[in-house]
Amino acid sequence: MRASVTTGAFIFASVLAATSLFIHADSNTSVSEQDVSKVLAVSNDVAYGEYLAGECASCHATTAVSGSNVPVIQGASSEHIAQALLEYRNGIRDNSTMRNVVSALGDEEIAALAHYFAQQTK
Amino acid sequence: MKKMNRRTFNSLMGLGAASLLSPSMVMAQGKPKVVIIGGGAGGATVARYLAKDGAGAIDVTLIENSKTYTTCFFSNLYVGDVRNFDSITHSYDSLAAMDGLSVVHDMATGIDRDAKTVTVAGGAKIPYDRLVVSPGIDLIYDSVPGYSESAAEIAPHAWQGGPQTELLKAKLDALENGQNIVMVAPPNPYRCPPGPYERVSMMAHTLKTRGFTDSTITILDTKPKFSKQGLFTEGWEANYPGVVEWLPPEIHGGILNVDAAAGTVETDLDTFEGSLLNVIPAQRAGAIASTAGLTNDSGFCPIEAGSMRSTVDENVFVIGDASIAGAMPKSGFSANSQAKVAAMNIRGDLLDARVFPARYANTCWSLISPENGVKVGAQYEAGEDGKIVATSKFISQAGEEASVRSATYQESIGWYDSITSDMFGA
Repeated sequence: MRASVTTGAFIFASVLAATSLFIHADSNTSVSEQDVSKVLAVSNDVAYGEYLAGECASCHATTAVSGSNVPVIQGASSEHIAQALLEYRNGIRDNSTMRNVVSALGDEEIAALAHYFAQQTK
Repeated sequence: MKKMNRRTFNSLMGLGAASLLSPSMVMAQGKPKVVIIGGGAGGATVARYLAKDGAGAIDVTLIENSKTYTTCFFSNLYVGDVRNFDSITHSYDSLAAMDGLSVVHDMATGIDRDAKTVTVAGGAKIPYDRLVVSPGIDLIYDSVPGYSESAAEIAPHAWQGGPQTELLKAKLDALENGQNIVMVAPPNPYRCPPGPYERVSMMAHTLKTRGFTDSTITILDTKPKFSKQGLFTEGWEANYPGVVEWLPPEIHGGILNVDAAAGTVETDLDTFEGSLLNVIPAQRAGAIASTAGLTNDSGFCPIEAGSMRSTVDENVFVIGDASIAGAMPKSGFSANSQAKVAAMNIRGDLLDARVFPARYANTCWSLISPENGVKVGAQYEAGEDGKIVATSKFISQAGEEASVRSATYQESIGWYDSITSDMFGA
């Protein structure tokens, strides 16, 4: 009993610590340049970004696809990628597929992805 | 030099002269070897990622019997005249041209897990350090009384892409107004949960386009509910009123017999007649998986949720439809996602590359009528109970505006080109 209470308190504290790392803009408010640069500074782990980007490659082609509305993101600036992902997170962008993708991305993952994509040539 | 030898090897393979003593095998000694069985969404992706990310440090062999691959995903759009057959058929040429990757067009017939070799029908034994088993599904024909592999030549399942897809399409195109379609839909778990119902939508679209107002489609289902049921039901009523009838087991009482030649399906309730019978039986992992002892009683292969590694053999990974992937549906998207986790773990094993926590994703798009797309999807990770669990989900809503449905369809078009490029590199 005692142990479970302690564990519960620990998990609660961990959740607080983890969520405080995220930028929490109010729903439907804009993502500022400061928000973007703060997130980009969290990680420059391009190898991690490359792994994460495997999921992106299932839907985002490297060249434009006729009839598709899925944008080419390879070679986009790190600021553009981070801004877009943060806008999905806070609801400015409302595509349900992308909002679902972003639900699994913390600031570290967004930064890693943004830096990785910026390195790719168009 | 290396490239010359690989080409020589490929051309020898093309002549059926595969042998352990072929030049590239000798050249490759010292490099870790990965053999992949099955060139679909799982196998092609893992081959490409190992070659791409391994940068030639791994000797990768992809064993796939077919010279081309027709995707099951989007095959319903071909049935509905929305796509042509060429657009869903892909070659292995770009994969075969990658450094460090050989494509062997042969049938894998056996796996010796002690000797770590795969035997192909041509007789060669191909050694591996890590093996990826991605054979997709086999159909359990006799799960439907009266149905068989030969009956499938008359009453196609079309649940494996290729000739069966073309046969179904030809049968549909041969229908006349007033002739009916009967589908037997499979029990869980099976490849592509919304697939049968998208197929019904596309067949209904074809009937509508041809002005066949007197033809109907009856679905005799072996399960009480199905994927995206509310969305499909709404779509059928709106687009094909009076055409589609779905009967669950509690209504038809069970399928007693299929007579492909007579074009009948007998149930407890009634005998249904169709000029086109589309019978989709129960499914299990491709035979090579059970032959090698990788399956459990379910007929599919248990895996470790964090890596797609077989729980039976640490040197073997099972991905795609053949695996038991927890909450993930059996889909091309799932297989493609699982392949990347497996490839990362294989590079970790063999090259000491970094291994990150597994992440998986899936989205299933379905087309109800032209420009009227719906989707369901989720993100996944390894759960604490050792199974793959969903961390978030989404699904299209009933009553969405046409512009939303059109945008969903356009998304699926981008996805199709992207995932097939991600698989085949072209």
